[in-house]
Amino acid sequence: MIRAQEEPPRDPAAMRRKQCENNLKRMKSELRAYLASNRITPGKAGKASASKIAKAIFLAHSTTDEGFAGISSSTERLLSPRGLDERGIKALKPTAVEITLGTDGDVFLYAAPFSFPSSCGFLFDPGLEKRHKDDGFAAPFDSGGLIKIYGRPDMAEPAVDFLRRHELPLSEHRQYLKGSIESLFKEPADYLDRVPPCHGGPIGLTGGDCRRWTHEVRIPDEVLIKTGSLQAVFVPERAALIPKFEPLLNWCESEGFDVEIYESDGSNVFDNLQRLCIDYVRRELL
Amino acid sequence: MSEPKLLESLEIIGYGNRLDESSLPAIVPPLFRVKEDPGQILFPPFVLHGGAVCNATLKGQAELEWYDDKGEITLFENAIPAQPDFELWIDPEGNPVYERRADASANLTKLARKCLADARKALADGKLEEAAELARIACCSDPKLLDALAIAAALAKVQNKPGRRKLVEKFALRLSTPEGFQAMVDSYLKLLSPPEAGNRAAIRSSEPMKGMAALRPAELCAR
Repeated sequence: MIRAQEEPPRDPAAMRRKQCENNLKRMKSELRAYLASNRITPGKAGKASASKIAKAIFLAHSTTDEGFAGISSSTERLLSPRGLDERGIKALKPTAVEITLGTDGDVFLYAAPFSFPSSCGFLFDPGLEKRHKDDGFAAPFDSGGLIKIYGRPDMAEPAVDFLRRHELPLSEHRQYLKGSIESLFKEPADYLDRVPPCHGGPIGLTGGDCRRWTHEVRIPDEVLIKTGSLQAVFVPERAALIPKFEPLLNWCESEGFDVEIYESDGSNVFDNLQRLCIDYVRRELL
Repeated sequence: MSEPKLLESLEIIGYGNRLDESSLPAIVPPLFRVKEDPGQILFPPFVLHGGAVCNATLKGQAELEWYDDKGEITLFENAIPAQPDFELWIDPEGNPVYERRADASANLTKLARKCLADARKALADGKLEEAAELARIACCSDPKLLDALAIAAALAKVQNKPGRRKLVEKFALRLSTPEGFQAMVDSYLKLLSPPEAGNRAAIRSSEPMKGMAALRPAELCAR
């Protein structure tokens, strides 16, 4: 009797998850081969530090004054670009990068300190990933940069195909993050400090900035703020009396979530926000 | 990170934030464009030093459009030539003001103090909402102006909003001791108590800013 081979999953979501698992295996193997061919051997101290960072690094989402005001006083959630469009909050152009990549239905978070030039931010604990292990995805770069910003090894390959080949399961992407942090950076903490890696790695992207090596986490549709995964919010000191900021800040204070305040009396506001975030992450993780 | 670029070679095309009307005025980080090569955009964070922009993140037109589409930045219709020792801020009506750093600081301080004086008067007149809004503008203009926070804390107390009071104290205690801030709050609580005729007259006689509430910030700063 001929035994039937293991049937591949027919459900598109299950197929995509299966592809992510295969991607992880392949990418880990490619990373090992890259390290061997470049004779890169991480030290013991680096491994321990990388493990700590990769396991516990928070998920960051930064936004503008306008965005924070809307979340605080109205939606109480982070919404995908499609969700923002459907609610009439922010129009989604047909040419948007997220539509091209099929990610317009996802909320974007980053396993790193804030790197966008914003004024406010949220940090969530990694537990958020566990709740979305079956419907969320990760990538070892900010996918938005695949359109017009990074160079890809084969520019003839559509960006969306490149992304699909590098998507990782949400439950395991931190394994790949650990491998990258311990071996591609001079010091593991460089990943937190937004210092470029000293080795390019096997993925082969070029150009852009720290978004090129920052792990992206995508959660479908929305991320509720008041779910227990929130770790901290970051606001400028001039936010003290802004009425639309008050509901969320009050809630954080009453529920014991951290409210981090940075100086905002100069043009280097984003620098101050980023430094405060890095200090916070270092204090909590290292 | 980009090489240092002299400010004379740059123009400002917008800033790295989208402001809500209730968060105005605000000093904002400019987005610089290289005049000779409009494809080069300098994003924050950066350091302004010796008439140059240092350690900025260099981005291209595609990234500029991407940030704009995502609603993360604000672009101006017309570029403003960049100048050394200048600061970009957005006034309470949402208009960009680009002026010498010392002037920007002085004008924001002046605006804050004027709003503070008006807030005191509104408090004394029992116009609590007006006082709260004036304190907000004062705080946005000068986030280190403890009086604005003290007015907000006093209002929160009389309006029985303990959550708001606690939040305001959190911001205030970065700038003051608990005792110092409480003393300031108490002084504003006295203003809020039903005034005697003499007290009200005394407040009115100390109104050097009377009539200035209707002025636009530019007019105010010109005084």
